[in-house]
Amino acid sequence: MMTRRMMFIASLVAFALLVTGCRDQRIIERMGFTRTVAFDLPPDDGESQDQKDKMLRVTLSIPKAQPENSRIVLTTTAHSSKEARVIVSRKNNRRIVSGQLRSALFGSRLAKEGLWKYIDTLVRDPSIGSKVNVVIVSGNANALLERDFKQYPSTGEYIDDLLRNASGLTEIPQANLHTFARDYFDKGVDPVAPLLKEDKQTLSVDGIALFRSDRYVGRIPPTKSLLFSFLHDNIATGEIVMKLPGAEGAKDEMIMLSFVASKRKITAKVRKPVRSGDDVAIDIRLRISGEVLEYTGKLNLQKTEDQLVLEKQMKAYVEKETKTLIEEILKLKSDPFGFGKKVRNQISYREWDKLQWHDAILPGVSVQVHADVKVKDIGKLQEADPVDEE
Amino acid sequence: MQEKLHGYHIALIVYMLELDVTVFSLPRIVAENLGTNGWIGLILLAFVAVCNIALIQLVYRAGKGRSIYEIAEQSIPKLLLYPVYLLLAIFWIGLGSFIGKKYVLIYQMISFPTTSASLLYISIALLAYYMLTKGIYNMGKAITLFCYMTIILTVLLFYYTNDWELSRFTTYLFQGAAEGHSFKNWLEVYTIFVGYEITLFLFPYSDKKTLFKGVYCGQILNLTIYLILIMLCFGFFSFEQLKSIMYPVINLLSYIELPFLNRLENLVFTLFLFSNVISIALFSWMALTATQRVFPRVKLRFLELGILALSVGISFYPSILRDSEKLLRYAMYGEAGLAFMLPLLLLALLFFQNKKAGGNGGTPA
Repeated sequence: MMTRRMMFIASLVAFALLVTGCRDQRIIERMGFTRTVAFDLPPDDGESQDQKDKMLRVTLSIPKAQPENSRIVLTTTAHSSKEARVIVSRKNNRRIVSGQLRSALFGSRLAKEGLWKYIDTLVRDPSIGSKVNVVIVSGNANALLERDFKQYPSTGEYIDDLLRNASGLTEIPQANLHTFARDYFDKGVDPVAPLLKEDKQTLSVDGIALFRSDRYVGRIPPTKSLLFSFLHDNIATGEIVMKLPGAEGAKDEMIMLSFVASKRKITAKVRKPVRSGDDVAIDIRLRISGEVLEYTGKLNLQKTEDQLVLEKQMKAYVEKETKTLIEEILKLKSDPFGFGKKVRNQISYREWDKLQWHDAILPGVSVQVHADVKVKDIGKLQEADPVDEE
Repeated sequence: MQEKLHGYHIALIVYMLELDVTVFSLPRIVAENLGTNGWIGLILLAFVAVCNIALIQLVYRAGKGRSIYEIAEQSIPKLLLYPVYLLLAIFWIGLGSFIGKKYVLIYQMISFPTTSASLLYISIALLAYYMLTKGIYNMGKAITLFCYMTIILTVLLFYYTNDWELSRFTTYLFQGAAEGHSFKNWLEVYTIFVGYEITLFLFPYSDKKTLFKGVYCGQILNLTIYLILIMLCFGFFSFEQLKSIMYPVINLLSYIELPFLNRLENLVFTLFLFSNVISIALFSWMALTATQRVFPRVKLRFLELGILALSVGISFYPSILRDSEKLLRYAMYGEAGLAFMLPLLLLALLFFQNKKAGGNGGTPA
């Protein structure tokens, strides 16, 4: 009796499993897994009809298993990203799916007009994860994705590796669909994204894109990106080159800090009611430490007192440079560091709700930076150059 | 007489029945209806639920552990009660069915867009049926296993430490709710606790000493898990973003990327299948206790089959997510009301019964 019942149950389960297999088939050989997608406006050639219709140019990059590092690149013009997928599917021999999407590239021209509608469809699609990289391309995003870079693996993979590498070195902040949506919805902070550009033979990180709401409004050059990261996040590792003013008449001294770790603390002082930027004072405290591996100045870093002098110089450098950086960013009415969040937590809900944070307050906010820079160690060489010591 | 359920199992039954598909939208529901720092509101609402449990405890004390059917049938003619039993049974079957259907529709959305929802539901109902046939004592034991599966998931929480920020909680209390504050909005959040009323039906099946200890523990466990989840979401998403996301927990899971595995939401959502099977099975069990009173002669197996068949039948009705959510919401309102009304009614009955007994000089119980 028992065995017959067990047989019945087993056959039911088997039936259910088999029948389920008949639907929603995903045969991997028949799928085109989009790895990278690029959105941009059609090229601006004066009288193009596409341009007038505000069409979107979409490029999909789909890796192929054989031969290695090969891929399919398809570009089309459509009204929306989903329509583009449908059009591309008509051309392609495989069903195009977005479950393995890793990076979404946006051309800078498109980004200046606002990205939310494109991000919205990506966030909404249940087949797309939240950790898809959001990248802004200085120049044409379609062209960048269509190009092959001889020395490197397929462009999609190259982009992902480059981004991972750069964010590992804290060259760029973390930027994915989740962080973008999160900061877009929050009035007290604006999203950021890495910038990429094409060089002759390679791709390169072109700094950090600043946004006001979902519009791309400005760029932080790569030389300043670590300073930006100090202010944007706590960082665990990075490399920074500082140009310190030399003694009178002498050349500037260079110092390179490696394995830089930093912690930041932002506090806001608010005079109520908040009517203009003058009522808000932001205070940023940075605690930075790093290893000195390269130094061209005159100080003898074996000596503690000289290290202290150097630390003072670096402190002055960081404070001055970050202050200039912040002032430039505030002029763009962008708030990537989340000053607004700090102000919000000081005032009433109603006041914050009414506040024209970006337009009326942000540009006039006064900012103080206090940096505390420490030399963690000076590497494994004891003696400095003995000839120079004379 | 069969074995009695220990408080430990009761706690897990209450916890698992309360935990169902609504957990995936819970953080949004809290943000939308209670506003900023809605988690504080959730604690207040949990107090209300605890008061409700205390009411049930009063029924237990006053009724000296008799089943609620016996209490009702002592004062009200059976002819009047039977239609009520049947209506209640249908209501509970429907409630379980709406929970299951909503789960299936979301499952369809994220994993199986072209598989028929009815087919998915039937396979779930089949599992629920097999659970139901084992009786409440064995269900309690099976639930223990599934319960730990959900609790282990809280380990994933550590993945989010770097992306979690206290300042996203804001300093405001209950501000920015989508439609302002009303009884209805708070009720909507309250419905996430629906499930503890199963205690009313567990009287004859449980260990006297530990029954209510178990119920309170289950409720507290449930609140703790909900609070962890909500606080995680409030610090991970920005407030306005949280209000805009349909199922924040799915988004939360889709953020996890491990070197060997990503898109974890598909896996975890499937794991939650069990908590929904259990909800269907337990609500069906409540319906079963009612129908058994009406049809004492009918074989148990037929009643169980009938209940699950009805459950499948009802599940066909909502075919799109919008309808399914609406139906589930109304059914939950009904159930939350019932959870208060039933003990109150029973207490009133018991009051008269005891008075009568007292007037007669006290009949031996």
